Amino acid sequence: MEQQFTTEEIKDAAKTARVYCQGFTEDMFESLMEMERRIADSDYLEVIQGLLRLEEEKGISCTEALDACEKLLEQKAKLEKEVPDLEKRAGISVAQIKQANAEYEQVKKDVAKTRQELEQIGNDYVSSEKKLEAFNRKAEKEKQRIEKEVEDCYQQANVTKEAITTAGKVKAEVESHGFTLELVLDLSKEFAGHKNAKEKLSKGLKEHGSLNKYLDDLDDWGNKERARIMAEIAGLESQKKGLTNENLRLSNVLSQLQSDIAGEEELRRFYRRYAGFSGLLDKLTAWEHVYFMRCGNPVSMAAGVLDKKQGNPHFWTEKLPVSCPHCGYPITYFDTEIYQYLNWPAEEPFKLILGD
Amino acid sequence: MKILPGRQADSWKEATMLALQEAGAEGMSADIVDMFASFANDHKTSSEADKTIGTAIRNRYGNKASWRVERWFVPVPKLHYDGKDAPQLVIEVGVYLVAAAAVRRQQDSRLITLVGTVGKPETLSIPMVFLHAFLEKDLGRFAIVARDSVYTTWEVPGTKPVRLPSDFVSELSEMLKYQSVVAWLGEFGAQGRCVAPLVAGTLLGLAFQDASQPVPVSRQGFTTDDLVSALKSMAFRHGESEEMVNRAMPRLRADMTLEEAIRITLQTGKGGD
Repeated sequence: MEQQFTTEEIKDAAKTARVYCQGFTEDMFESLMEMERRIADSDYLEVIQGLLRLEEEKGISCTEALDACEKLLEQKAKLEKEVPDLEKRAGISVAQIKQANAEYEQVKKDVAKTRQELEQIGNDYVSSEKKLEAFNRKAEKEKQRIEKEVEDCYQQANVTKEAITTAGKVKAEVESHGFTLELVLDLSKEFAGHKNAKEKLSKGLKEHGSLNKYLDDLDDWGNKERARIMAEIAGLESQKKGLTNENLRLSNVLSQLQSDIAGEEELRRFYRRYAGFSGLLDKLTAWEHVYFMRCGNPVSMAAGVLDKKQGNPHFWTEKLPVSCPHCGYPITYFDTEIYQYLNWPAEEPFKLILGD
Repeated sequence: MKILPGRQADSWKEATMLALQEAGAEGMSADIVDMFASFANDHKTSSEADKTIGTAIRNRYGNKASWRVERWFVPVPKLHYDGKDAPQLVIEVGVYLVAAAAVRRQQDSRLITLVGTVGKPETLSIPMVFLHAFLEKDLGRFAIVARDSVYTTWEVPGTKPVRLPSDFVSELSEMLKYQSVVAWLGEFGAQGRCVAPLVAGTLLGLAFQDASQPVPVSRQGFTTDDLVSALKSMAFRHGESEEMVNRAMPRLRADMTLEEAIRITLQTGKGGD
């Protein structure tokens, strides 16, 4: 319908349309023509789409579009004025954000570092705590051990706490008389190891007249006694050395005897095993030569692969054979296996010679 | 067959222009001619053309004349709108022969161009309801009752079966994909522009048929059938009603409402009695 119709043509068209649609008018036809013309214009469609979008998105109907447009333009102008200020603020904000981000990153790094350190400290703390616990346990054990040792010492020293308390009192008492405890102990050593030291002391004083003389006599006696014991020890050591040499000699004799016994046993076993064949050996000795042979029959050889008993037969002769005594096969071989036992070359005739 | 002196056509394009000129269809676009090209590719038409050319040359230049000829078959459609009963667009496709011939006689030789129709024109009737459905891509509403390699026939209620060449339907579909019916009709030249308002009106009426509000009788237009039906509903017999309408026809106008037309018909009928 893009071709323009005349008024008459429009009337005709409308009249024709009314055959099917009674209410169809020329106005409707012209409206349709106008609509077609507009639809052909892509800008018109864009405007319609824009208006529809305006209505859908902003809720502004087509009739209000112009007013709304004016308002929006005013708003746009106003907003455009604010743009430089906002851009400046945006720039500042961006800078602040950048700085804040940098600070945030730094803080994040610090936090991470601190967290690592804290973790390290925590680990150290746990380790120290464990060490401390171990140390406490060890200290406790040590304490118990020391207490036990002290207890053992008490027992070894055959003292009790009470005795030590008493010793303390004794020390105080001794010191009150102008002596030291060490002096008193030295004096006591003089009598140590003696039963009834008190009686001995009084007796020694009676015999030797003085304590020092008694001590000198004791020293002489001690030296003499020591020399005697040393001489006894030397004699015993010399005796021990002689006994050790004798023991070594007897051990060697015993080993020799055991070796002889083993040899004799071997000889006995050999005799038992081979004595029965001495006649055969004597007979073979009488032969000029002994030839250890084997049949060369290939049939027996093949049979021997399947069953060893069916293999080529072995035989001994005094003279070189011309055929197998078993099957008559003309080819025979030296039994190299036996010659290997004899350590003798197969090509040379073998003479059996027995020893004396 | 018209014989023009000289060689008037050397190509298909020139032959087309000559045929359209001869048919009085100047202004028709080449696309429209191409659209109906399948109508001209008929073996029967070709053999008939040979006979026609021979007859025309022998009639003019004698039986001893010999000739060589180059020929083109140009389909030329003619449109008309038929609003009686079921409105329809009728396309009558005639095939024009354009033949450039060199005729030799004993004494001379000459170039001539023969132009004229060959064969019988083929008529395509497209009911408007069919065209409307075609535009709405709703041809499925009509049952296909016959089809061969060339034609498809649909059953359209209220009219004779519509038989159209399948190639023509495909071409029409392609052409109407990118342009309106009025534009398409415009390509037929003056005859297309002539029927365009009626075709467009009918199509619009069909398009708005369901959406239209009922119109009171006082504002309804009328047709002869409507008038006869109205008189019959007033107890006039059919023949009597038709006679009354025919008698009132000189006083009726197409733009009258049904009410006015009934009043004038009754008045005329009474006056006649």
